[in-house]
Amino acid sequence: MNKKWKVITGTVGMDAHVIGTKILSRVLKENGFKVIELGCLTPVDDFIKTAQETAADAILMSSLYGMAEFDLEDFKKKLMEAGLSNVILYIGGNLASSREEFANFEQLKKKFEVLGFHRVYPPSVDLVQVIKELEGDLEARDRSCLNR
Amino acid sequence: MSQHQKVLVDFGSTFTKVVIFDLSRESLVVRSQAISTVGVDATVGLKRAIQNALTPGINVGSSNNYLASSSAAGGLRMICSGFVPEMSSEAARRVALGAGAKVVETFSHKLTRSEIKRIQQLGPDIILLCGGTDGGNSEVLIHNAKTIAADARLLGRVLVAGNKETHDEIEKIFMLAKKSVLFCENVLPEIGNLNPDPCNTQIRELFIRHIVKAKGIKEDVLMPTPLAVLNAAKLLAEGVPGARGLGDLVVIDVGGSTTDVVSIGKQRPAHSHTVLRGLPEPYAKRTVEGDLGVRFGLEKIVELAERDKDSGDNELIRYSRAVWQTAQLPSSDMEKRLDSQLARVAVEEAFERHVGKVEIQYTHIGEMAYQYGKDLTEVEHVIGTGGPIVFSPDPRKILEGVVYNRDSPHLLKPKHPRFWVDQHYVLYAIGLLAEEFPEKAFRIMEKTLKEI
Repeated sequence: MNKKWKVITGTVGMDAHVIGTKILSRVLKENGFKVIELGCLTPVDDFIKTAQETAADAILMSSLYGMAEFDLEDFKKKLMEAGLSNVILYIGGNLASSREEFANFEQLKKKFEVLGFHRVYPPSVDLVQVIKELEGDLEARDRSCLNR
Repeated sequence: MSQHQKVLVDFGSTFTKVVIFDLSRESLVVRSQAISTVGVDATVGLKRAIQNALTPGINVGSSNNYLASSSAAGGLRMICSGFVPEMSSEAARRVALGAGAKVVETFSHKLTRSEIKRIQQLGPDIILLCGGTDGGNSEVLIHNAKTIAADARLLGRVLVAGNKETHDEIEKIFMLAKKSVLFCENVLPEIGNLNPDPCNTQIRELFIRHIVKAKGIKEDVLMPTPLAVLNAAKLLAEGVPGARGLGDLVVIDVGGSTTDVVSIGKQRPAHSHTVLRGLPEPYAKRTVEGDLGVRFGLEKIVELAERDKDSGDNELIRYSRAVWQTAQLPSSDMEKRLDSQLARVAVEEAFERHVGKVEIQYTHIGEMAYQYGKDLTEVEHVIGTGGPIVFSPDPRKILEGVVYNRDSPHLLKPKHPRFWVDQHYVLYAIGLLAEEFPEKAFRIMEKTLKEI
């Protein structure tokens, strides 16, 4: 990777959890990404407006209070409206809103993929792995843009 | 002796005003005015205003004794263009207001042909092009620069204050179009960071060097009038070495065409559990309400007066309608009283638009308080200026429109302010004098402001 990719991090909605997103941001920075940290309590619309204004390559959203699905209902539509269909979207944290959901991660993952996310991560995750996947996804996206 | 007197001139839209300060006594000597002749030859009006001021003992000396501001010929008219409305477009607008400009219109996203036509019709003095954080989106700003450069009818000076990565290409575009363009630092270099100063400096340079002359004023004008008032407000808040300022404060300027509000103070959360939202607000924040002047375009004020109607106020509504038709100044005591009431309506509404607001959202984790704008609840000083306030029989009544009201607790208005009036109507002159003699300007201002 020769260009510095720009990624947005933050905890979505009314969620005040901040440690996860801070750790993620730090690891991203150490791996050469330019990180725009929105912090906790970030409304969905702020992710979108920031992505527009900064021409960000990816959004890595955190959510820990179990309300993410509720917060992100029309996220995909808003992204398309904002002309951001090319932005890579990841979400992680505690996305389940019930014990059943928590027990069945694969189903939960599908739910968030439908909402527009490229990758969905469980509560416990290896950030080195996430970074590898992110770099891979960004490189693939850049290649396909060049090929158009 | 003439070197101890300084003449401060304001080329207004209706009047050319002159204020003379005695610098050794640090006092006001005289204030006078004459009908503006800016359309023909500004010097004529200026000479008359000075004539009106002269009495034995006043020696105005040579012309390099003047400092001048101007709001003539529409003032400094600007068009702002950015990308996302709540981000770069809003940043552009706030910065332009802070430079003392009249923001005629603000556009967002890529400019369309019909928007270009509108810009051409509005004929701004400066077109401020913003968009993209540094290293962010380039597409929108470059598109807009191309579109503006390509239109031969657009005569305003172009100032680019957006994504710095676009500068090289925009420079090329304008060179090919044989038009000039200026660049300055991004007003929104990164999300959450408003950067007004470099752009303000550039706007002021343009105003002094080109725009004022284009409006027919040969005299050296230092700044647009609103900026002079803003600077006086800053000076009063900050003080000078040896004299403490008043701290955070608010200035209300009620005029015939607009009501302006200035608040000096950093944006801070009102409480420890309040979260700041929205674009950061500048330390010196200025808002201008073009629909709240008390002489021209009274439609909004009439509407507000009607909405707040109670038994005694039919009289107010009738008066406001009459003024709307004739724009006449009040003469009888009753008219003066009613005029003050109109000013009060304007002040309340203008301030409500300016002040910070708190929005409580109820969530499963408890009450969350989101704050937009500045918390002015602890502001201790409110200063009123502008004819309708200065010449009112009860200016305090008008200014009390800014006080915190328990019925609208979400408006972060001052709870226990002291009130002052610019009794000689010289605030602009203080702001101008502060350019050369800040300490004297401060001390003169202390003398000319009257607590009410």
